[in-house]
Amino acid sequence: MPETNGHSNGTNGQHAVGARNIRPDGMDKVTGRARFGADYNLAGQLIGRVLRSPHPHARIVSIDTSKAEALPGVKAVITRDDFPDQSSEFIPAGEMMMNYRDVVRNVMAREKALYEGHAVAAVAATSVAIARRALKLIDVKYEVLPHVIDVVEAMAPNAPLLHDDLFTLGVEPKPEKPSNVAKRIEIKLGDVEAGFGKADIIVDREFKTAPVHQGYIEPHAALATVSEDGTTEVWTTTQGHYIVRAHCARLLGMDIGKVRVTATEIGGGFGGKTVVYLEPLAIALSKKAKRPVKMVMSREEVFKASGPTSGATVRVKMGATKDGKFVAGFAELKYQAGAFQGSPVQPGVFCAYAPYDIENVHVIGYDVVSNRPKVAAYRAPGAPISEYAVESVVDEIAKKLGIDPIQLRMMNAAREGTKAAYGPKFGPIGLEETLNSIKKTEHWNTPLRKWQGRGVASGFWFNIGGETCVSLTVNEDGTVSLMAGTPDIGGLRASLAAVAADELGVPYDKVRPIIGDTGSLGFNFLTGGSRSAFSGSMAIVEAAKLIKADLIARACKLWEAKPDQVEWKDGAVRPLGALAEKVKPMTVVDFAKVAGKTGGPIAGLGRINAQGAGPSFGTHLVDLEVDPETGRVTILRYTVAQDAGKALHPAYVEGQYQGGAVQGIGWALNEEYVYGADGKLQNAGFLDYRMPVASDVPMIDTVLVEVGNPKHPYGVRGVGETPIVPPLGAIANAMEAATGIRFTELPMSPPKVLKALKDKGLNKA
Amino acid sequence: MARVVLIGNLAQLTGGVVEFDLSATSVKQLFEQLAELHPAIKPHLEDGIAVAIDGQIYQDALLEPIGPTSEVYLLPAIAGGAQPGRRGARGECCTEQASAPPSRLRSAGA
Repeated sequence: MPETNGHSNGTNGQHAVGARNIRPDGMDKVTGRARFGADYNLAGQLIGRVLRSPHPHARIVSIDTSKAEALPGVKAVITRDDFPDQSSEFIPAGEMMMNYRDVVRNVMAREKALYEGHAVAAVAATSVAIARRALKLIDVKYEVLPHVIDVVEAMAPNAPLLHDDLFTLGVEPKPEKPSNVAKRIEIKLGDVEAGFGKADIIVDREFKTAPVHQGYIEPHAALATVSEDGTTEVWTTTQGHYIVRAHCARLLGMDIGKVRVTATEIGGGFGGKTVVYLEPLAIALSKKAKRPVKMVMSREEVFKASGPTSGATVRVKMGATKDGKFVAGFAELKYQAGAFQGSPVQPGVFCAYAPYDIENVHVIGYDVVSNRPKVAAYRAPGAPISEYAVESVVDEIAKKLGIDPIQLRMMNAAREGTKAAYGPKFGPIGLEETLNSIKKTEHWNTPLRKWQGRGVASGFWFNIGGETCVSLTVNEDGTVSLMAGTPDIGGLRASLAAVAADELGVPYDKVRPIIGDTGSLGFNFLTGGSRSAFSGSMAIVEAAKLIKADLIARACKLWEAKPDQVEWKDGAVRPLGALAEKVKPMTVVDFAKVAGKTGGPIAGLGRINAQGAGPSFGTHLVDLEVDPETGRVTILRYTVAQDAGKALHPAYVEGQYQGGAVQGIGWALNEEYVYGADGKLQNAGFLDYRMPVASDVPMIDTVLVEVGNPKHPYGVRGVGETPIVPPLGAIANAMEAATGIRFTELPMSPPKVLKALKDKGLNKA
Repeated sequence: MARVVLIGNLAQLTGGVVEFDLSATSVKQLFEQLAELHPAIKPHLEDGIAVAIDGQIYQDALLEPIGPTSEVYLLPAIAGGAQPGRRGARGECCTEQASAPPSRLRSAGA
């Protein structure tokens, strides 16, 4: 630990880090005072609405907006003509990559509408009613084209082509014809065929997962105003307002410095708010109308026009010796990207076998476009799909060999020094600790009844760092203002305030954290990849170092001392040796009182490109019960054990574990996009798109494992993504234990379960 | 000499060569030496690449030191790695130049 991390609060001797401190944003949220995206308004604002394609695939022959523009109350209409075309350039979108040429086509269709709900035009009007009437007056002539929804069908040679200039990358020889397969990737470790040759048992299975939406409760919302000189302000619900700024500036040809974006409070994102949809439209409309424009998506629009994550087809083949040693792993992943390339198949490929120490691994991935909305990041993008398939096969191997599933995982677990299938060796990691923790729970040893089953699965996510800028300012009374530039979607403010409190030796409740706008701090990458608390706390340490160095310098001047006669310890600058008999230690509060007389304001800017993110592993345990008459599955009990490195705010970390588990339960049991033969989404609402609600799940028990990350001053690892990885496999394994049926297709919804039970003659208790 | 290994599709840009022994003492030098040996890989090193040095993954870290016995892996950036508006990001291990068809990527001036 660095010397600067005394970790003690100079005021009361207690640590803020690791305590369950009161959430600084809690009061506003429980009283309804917090302002989310749709809560922002400006005088004279117009209402923006989007006209969306009714067809899953159609060439746009013409767009006539004249009647809409003539409608009284309509102040602006925009189409593809209002967005300059973009050159091909890949940029990060959450944990995935996206191409600007595709981004401009996704926010507003150009040559073709590529999915039902694809934006074709937008209007700004003085009322919602007028805006809706205006949309009906826009005359779009379509040439309807054949569509393709399923990933395997989209890969077929005769499938309808979405892009006639899309040639598969990563294959040799180079393809001569375009296809819907944007890319083929693969990783190899050792000799997988030789590995299978050593196996006593081989399990080969194919799995299918449905695309699922991130399901954030707050719909996308944006308010924009453009002044006559082009200065632009945007308020939006986003996971990365610097990214919104960059995307909008690029798409609309503006200087980044002229665009100021404020991230509102956010009602969930989970990766889905890492890209732009409404923001460039609101800016373009405001620029044209010369008035502020507010746009809010309906729930139907959220489902039809904002990114879910991929559905996929996955084949997994694993080989093991009879004593349980994994000797070979093969996987082939086919991920839907939606209408434009860029599915999370790359991380899916890397993560598939990451929890295990296997000498021979070969994983192939395909990125496939189809007539669905472009996928966006969703917690540990790509990983839940591939790891679900592997964890299912691991469970089957355990059963066939008669080995306890935790013991089998322990025998093959990745540990410090294990060479990951994607290349590097792991440093200190906590997979074994999570397995041990689960095995020690009372839950693991509780007996079950008929139609009840227990499943276990592990999961992995890399975690990342990235560019981060924060500020700490000591106020006149010694309180501290903390500003971060990454939206707080899971406890950032509470976590950073705790670190600042311990670093500066002030009480936690004297640190007030806020999220600054893009004009207030240097560039910040978005909140995602499980990076914001990890990177932000490192930046806070850097900012605090600057303040402490400044205070030491001021003390030296006040005390006429040399630097080696003072030290920072326990929240104060303290005199050493003989000097200690002449002067008293000075705390931050003491310095605040004399700041003006000793050099002016006291502040520190922490600016880093955070490296050293520690991988995170987790293991989940679930008990469930199957109703043989209806096929309904009830989750009876659920325990999450995950390595947090160091939990800055344990309650928030536990909340991440619980939230990830619940989202995974929904993915496993109920959630799916249902398309008709016409290529249109049939369940674009929460009534028909069945997400778990509080009454569907038990209290999720959590076990905080803390294997410190040596690259972080407090040992922190990101925690937000990993908990959504294991549930799919754990629940599928529990289903097998309850019914004897290996379910290989998600979701395991009542109709599918009932059919499987009937097929086996098991549908009567 | 540091041992350098390419992961995934990157080897398509080096004629199938996966492993190198390089005298680089920093990520910047490593990229320069690789680009000199295999010019086709150069555009892909500028963005969208992560470097794992002795097990630790770094992204956008040109100045990170590499030891004489280090084991270095080049792999697609895990997430982010290149910032929009900061510079042109070429993406994760994409091989448009190696694949070379008159694709939408290339024709649009990638």
